[in-house]
Amino acid sequence: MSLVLTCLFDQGSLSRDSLEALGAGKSIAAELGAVLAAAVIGAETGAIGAAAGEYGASKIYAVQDAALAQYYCEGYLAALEAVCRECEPAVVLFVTNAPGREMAPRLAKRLGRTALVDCLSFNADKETGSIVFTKPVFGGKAMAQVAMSDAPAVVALRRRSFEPARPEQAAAETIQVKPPAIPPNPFKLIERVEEQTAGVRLEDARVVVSGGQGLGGPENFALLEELAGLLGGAVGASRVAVDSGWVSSSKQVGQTGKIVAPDIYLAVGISGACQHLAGCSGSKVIVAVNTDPEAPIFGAARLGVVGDYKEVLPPLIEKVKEMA
Amino acid sequence: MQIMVCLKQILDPELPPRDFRLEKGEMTPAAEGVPLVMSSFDQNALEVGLQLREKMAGATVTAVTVGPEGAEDVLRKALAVKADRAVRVPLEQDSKLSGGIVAGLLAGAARELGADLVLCGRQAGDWDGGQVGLILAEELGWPGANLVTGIEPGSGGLVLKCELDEGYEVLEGNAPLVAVVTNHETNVLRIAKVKDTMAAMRKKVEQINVAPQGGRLELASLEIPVKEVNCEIIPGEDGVEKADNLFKRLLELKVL
Repeated sequence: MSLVLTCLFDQGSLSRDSLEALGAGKSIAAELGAVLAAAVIGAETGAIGAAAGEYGASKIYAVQDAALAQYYCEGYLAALEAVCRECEPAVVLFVTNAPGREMAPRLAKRLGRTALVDCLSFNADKETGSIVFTKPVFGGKAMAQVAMSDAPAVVALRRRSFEPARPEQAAAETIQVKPPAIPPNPFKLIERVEEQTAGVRLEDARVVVSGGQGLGGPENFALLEELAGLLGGAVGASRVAVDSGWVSSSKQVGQTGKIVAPDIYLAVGISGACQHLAGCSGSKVIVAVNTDPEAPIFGAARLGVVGDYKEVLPPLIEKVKEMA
Repeated sequence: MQIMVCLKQILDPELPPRDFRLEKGEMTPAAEGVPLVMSSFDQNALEVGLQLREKMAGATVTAVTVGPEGAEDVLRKALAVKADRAVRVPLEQDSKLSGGIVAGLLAGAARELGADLVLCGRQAGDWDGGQVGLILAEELGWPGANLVTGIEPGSGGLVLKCELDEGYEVLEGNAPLVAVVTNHETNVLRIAKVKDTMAAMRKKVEQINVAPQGGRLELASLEIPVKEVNCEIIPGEDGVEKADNLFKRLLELKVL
């Protein structure tokens, strides 16, 4: 029976990313008639292994070692390589987050394969066992379907593109794996700054108010902050706004930034480059506010306001205040 | 310190979607009339390399590209912002989904050049593969740092600032290493002076030949997605009216 292996890097409890990997893994395994397995790594993997079992994995490959208490690429790679040599999976799944982005290509190389990063969907062929994954290319202007016919197919899934797994009652078997050696971290951590976002996280927000070049400077983001705050939403930005230093890069929405799928995506002064739209195209309603009626953002928006945001946003803010 | 920066020439990603076409009957975009540019994250990598050189006596920056002769344009651009050397590794094949092959060629060049630090952009703005630098770390057996925004010389090696999903971290590591660079306000590529651009035209581009190895992924199809969005323009004489109408529509669509 072939295996679909999801690689989980959480400690303690499963993150939304991991639940999405398990959810996607479950449907791929069902299509292929394969078993869903999870790799869990850490100093203490009991809790996370049990959680993975509860969310659908029927085999848990655990690499437990004090040296692996915190994620670092070289150590976790050695652990995953050992798991893959042990279970010879047909498919290895990552999520395209910071660890997944660096692990997928490197693990694939060690297994003699090339990874595919940022996949949106899949089509599996049970007969041949081959799977075709779809990923955006050319900044989202085209979609490539890539046939992964040689096992293992090493794939990183785009965040917020797959339904998270649901809890189910099932017994999981746990297999302890011992890597031949765990290399030390070649980097010394000097400082880690976790950004504290006031309010809702950009990726979880129901309303995202994003600003771009049209805002002309960092001070004008205050208006966006106010509107987002009133709606219980978050502020995003285009790459131009980030490269200009107006907002921190953790606010960047797009192909290489955050992928968001809110109910309302309000794009203010954003021209609508493909790579930006790739990060918000899953939104229910995109609203564009732009002075240029020819801006490509109007080609992607459900609702459009042609005009100066400085004249439109303040009365909109008043309306929202009245509602509340 | 020998700094090697990997640069890729790509079709201009700023090309608007309405002008983006595929070559008839082929799974590749039409290139005719489309400008070729240096991939944007590679520009960030080049800037990181140039800034590091300014802080390290004796450091050099070598720009390397893989591709046909025409790809030397990106090397000229690097020479124009004062890269010390420019090297092309010839590869006549199409670049689609060939990250594994390209990483192998770049590894060969890094060994030949005696590089201590290899800088790559996080992903090319054409096929968006996002893996050359990471496979390169594996090929060379060097540590790899991902999503790096800047590098400084430190007391015990190199100090790298790396983006996390929420926030950032600062790492210290010793060369040789591979750093995969992402965009940040501090690493937007400087603009070349006109006289340096002229001088770059006359500079020598070296060539290093490496035998291509490994396979590429199998492209089954390439399509331009059909967009079915029809934008409804909100009417109104002024900002207040537009805001009113927009607010009403959002309520009607039950998203507010």
